Amino acid sequence: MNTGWKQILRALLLPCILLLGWELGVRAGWVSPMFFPAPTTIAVTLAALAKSGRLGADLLATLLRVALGLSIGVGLGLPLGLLMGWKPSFRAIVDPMVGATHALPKIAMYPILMVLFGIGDGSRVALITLGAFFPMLINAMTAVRQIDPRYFEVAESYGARGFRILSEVIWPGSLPLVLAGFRLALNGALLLGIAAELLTAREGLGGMIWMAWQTFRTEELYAALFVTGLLGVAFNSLTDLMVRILAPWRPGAENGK
Amino acid sequence: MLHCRGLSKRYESGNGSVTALEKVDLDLAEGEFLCVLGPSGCGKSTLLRLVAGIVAPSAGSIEFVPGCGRPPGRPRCAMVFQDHGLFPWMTVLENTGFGLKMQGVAGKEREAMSTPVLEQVGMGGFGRHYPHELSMGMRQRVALARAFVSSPDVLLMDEPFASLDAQSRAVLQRDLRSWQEERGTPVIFITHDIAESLALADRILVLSARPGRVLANIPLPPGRCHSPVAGFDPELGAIGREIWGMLGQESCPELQGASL
Repeated sequence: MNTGWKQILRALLLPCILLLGWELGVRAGWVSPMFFPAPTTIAVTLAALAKSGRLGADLLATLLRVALGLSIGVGLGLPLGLLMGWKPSFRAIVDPMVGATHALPKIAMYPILMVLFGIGDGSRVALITLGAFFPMLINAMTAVRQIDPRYFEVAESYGARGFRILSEVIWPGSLPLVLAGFRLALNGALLLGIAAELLTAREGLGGMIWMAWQTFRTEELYAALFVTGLLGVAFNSLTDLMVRILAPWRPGAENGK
Repeated sequence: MLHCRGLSKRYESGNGSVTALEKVDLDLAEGEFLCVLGPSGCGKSTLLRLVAGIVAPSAGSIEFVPGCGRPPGRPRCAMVFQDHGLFPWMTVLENTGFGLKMQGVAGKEREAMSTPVLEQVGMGGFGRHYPHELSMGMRQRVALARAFVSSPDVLLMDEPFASLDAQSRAVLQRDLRSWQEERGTPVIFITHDIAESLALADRILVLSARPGRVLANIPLPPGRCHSPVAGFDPELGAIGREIWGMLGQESCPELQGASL
């Protein structure tokens, strides 16, 4: 059999066993369907939510916020991080500030962001931006610093200076770790996006989860959690694909290790 | 064509300064293969970095007078390192054309110039491979191709074969010498291996322990066969023993007077 299919089957094995056990447990009356609605019930709810268009609207609201915050966070964190990795003098100026602000739990800054950007989507996107900015910045900086100094020497011995060093050594040399940082930024953005929606939004996956909790519709709660989980899986697959396309030189990248 | 006079290099650090090189004179003639031998830490690599212009000397001058009517200036250098220094993110072909790219040669032309050189070093079929897919010896061949294709004024080699197995090293030594003679590129070749320097060099420069100074400047008989077993030749063997004596005293002063 094709190894790709084998891998997918292996990945599905454990969730299938879990779901099967869950379904049996509910049907046999071992667990309360109030707290643990049967997977089939959740699936029916999910289908109904999708059909009514509510799920699509909530998913889109979350995705838009995350995409916007991620773009701003990565757009600021990546160049700043690369520069901090490249120029020690610049790092010396910015690093203490980054260390101090990074240590704060981002969600604790939400009230301040609401004061600054209003209680609407402005503050939500700002919070998501913070969630993406720090992992991107710190990984980009580390990515540049771990480049073997030998590569800089080779490039310089062939006459590369300034921008050439950036385009020929720093960017490609840091790319694998930068992509790992992008993955963390994506996860951070999703995490804080859902958190912000839980606290203040009516629409979006987080809003849906909170609404289901308040009205005690547990099957909707699980349905929203399931979709959020799927989103995480989709994001990870996306970054895997990016690594394969953008950094094919990574040993093992060509056989999916 | 290359004249270095009184080259010194001091590195300043938090707890004082370290002198790596002291008043080193070095001349390199057209097409000459010069080996620089010395105990570890004697500033051999610093010497190469000075010539390459990666590091600025604390004192002394480097003068380069090209033969073919070009005005004197900085020599165009190509460096080959012990661990080959190929960029892992570039294919063999891209790595080979890197020096040309830095000179502003366009992509198509780079490929056209790189391909025959890759074929010459026996790596013709590997243009689309990445370095991690090659053996150490193959990577070093690509590094040599990258150095040759940019037609440098001086080829600088920093213990390029030190991490190869004995067999690959012997073959590469022979090949390097024949390619170098064919192109007439002058070479400064750093090594700590006396047998290697006897096999390859037209002339050997022996440096002292830190700070590196020139201990001896030994021309080797011209027109000989540059084989890895050159050390078995009685005349070269005598030179080798002489160098052993100098270096032995340099790296272990307590051995002074002991015969090797």
